[in-house]
Amino acid sequence: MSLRIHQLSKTFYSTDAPVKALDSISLEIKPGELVTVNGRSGCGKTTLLLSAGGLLLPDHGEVTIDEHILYALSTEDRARMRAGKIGFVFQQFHLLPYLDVINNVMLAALAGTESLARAKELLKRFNLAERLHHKPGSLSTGERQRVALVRALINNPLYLLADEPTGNLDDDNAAEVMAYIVEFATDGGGVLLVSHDPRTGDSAGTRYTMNKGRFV
Amino acid sequence: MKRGIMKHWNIVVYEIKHRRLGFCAGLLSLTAATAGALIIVLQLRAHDLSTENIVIETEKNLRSEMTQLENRYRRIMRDMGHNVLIMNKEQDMAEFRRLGHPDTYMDYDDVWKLAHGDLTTLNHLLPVLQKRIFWEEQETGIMLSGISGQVPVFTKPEFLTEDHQYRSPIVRRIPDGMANLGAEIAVALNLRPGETITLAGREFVINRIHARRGSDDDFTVSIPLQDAQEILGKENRINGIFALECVCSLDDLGKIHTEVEAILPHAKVYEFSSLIAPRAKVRQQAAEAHRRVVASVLQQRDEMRRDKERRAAVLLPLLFSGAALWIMLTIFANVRERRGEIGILRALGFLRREILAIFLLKALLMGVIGGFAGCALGLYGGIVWSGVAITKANVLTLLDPVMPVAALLAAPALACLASVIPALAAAHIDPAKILAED
Ligand SMILES: Nc1ncnc2c1ncn2[C@@H]1O[C@H](COP(=O)(O)OP(=O)(O)OP(=O)(O)O)[C@@H](O)[C@H]1O
Ligand SMILES: [Mg+2]
Repeated sequence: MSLRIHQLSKTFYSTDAPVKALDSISLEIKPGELVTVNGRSGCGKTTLLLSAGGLLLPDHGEVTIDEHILYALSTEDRARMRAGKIGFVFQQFHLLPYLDVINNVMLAALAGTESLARAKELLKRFNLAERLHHKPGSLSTGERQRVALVRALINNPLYLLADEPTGNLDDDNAAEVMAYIVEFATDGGGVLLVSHDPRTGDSAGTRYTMNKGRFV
Repeated sequence: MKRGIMKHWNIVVYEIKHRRLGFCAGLLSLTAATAGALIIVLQLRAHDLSTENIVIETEKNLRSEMTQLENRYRRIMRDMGHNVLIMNKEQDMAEFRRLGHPDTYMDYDDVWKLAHGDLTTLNHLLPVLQKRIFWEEQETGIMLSGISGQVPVFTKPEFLTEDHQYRSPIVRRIPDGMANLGAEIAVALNLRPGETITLAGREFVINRIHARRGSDDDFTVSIPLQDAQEILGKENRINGIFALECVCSLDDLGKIHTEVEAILPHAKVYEFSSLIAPRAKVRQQAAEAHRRVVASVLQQRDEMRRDKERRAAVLLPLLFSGAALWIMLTIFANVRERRGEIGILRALGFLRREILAIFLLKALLMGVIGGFAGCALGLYGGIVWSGVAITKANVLTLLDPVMPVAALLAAPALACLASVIPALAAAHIDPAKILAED
């Protein structure tokens, strides 16, 4: 049981020179493990995360989630895999502007889980208990970031793929979020955290530094 | 894999509430298209309805004109006098022509048999007993004519008063003890109404002198039938029954013989002045003219209808394709502004067909609401602008349950069809592209 990335490469061919966003990247996230990838803007962190989550087909290499070769599955089966096993947090939170906080979280919830109670509990934990019925437009950036995190966690995923989850937070909130991510890992979840925020580096776990698509 | 509380339906509804304008734009075009289509169809139906009314009205007018024409003819016929003489079958016709009257006889009761019989072609029965005699007292030859009142034909009550007398008889009853004189006889003998004459030893007061007719009538002395029977020694006998033949169509010619002979097997019919054929011909011509009037009305209405149909044939597709195009653009715009949303939904594990469903559901909702609104508007507007009087009967004729049902099905179908392409585009958006954007 693990999320394995093996020799992953991805090159973007844009108007000028081709950009090697991923260059033979390999890593493994086991349950209970927190893997952090740091690196400068444009080094390929988001690309890595999207590929790991089955949203971006790499040129070479393989992603395996619990023995399933991700890109051997159909698009729809990869979507099912995401829904069931992966939680995503993005740089641009991508909350739905017309849904209030609780509904934005419940959007991701699958039937059968005790998700509403869990959603409320998580939101309370991230100091959002008073904001359940606010639309994203009336939330601060940090609040939106935390709603996005709660949404990623609502189905109790096996793996959390987080893109700059602390990027927009003050020290207190950043510490709170990081504490939760660490706890998530301690409770047996696997985390791939990509960030250029040095505050993420304080936590224990495997740490990579990335530059121009390569680990250094 | 099932979604939790947040069903696709909720997403659709919340999104519509959030971006009302776009939804209303699509809705409006559907409402307009549905209403427009219904109004066009109702206009066509209203056209048919008013055509029907016009034709009914025209035919009613024509029928009343025909009835008037008919009555005029009947009066003219009656004024021209009796045109049929019924006599004994044994009558030698050469002898009849020579004498000017039959010399064979029938029972007086025969006329009553006819009167009670099933007559359709005869009216105004007048039993007579006629004979050319020498008027001894005045030393001149005359035609003696015994007449009673007209015998009512009971199958034609419309010509009779309540006590079975003719309202306007051709020949009036001669009061007892009186006589009517032909013009020539009166002049020759210098007789005037009110003077008393003696005929075969009986005295009669002159009732009236007839106007000159240019026939045997001018040499006729008419007295009550019973007097004539006694004078001629023919008690309860007559030698002819005058009648007025009233045939309504050329086909009925000849029917008179069958009819009379069925009631009186020993009688025959002699038609001496038949106006029947020309009358039937004129009638047919009138009917023909009326048919032409109705036909030309119908033709004119038909051309108008074809005109309206041609316009509808252009307008309807224009209306629908316009609405479809507008909806497609609306949904495309919606997909564009929801790219980020689609990206995250895919990242959260939404399937392509769920994305498709979200957009199609929105279109469906647009179609259902637009269909209802368009239906209400179209039915109302269509009836108000139909140009026919708004009566319960007219409205019920105009409205066909198929129309609203078709509209309520067509509007959602149109909306969904128009949205298929943008919805498919939404389902196939590459989430990575969007999610990598800063
Ligand atoms: N769809 C794309 N087409 C072309 N080039 C792309 C595309 N996506 C990413 N890139 C390029 O690939 C490189 C890596 O991009 P990526 O978004 O992974 O960087 P990042 O490390 O997440 O940066 P940041 O910290 O600013 O988010 C960048 O140079 C970017 O311009
Ligand atoms: Mg990035």
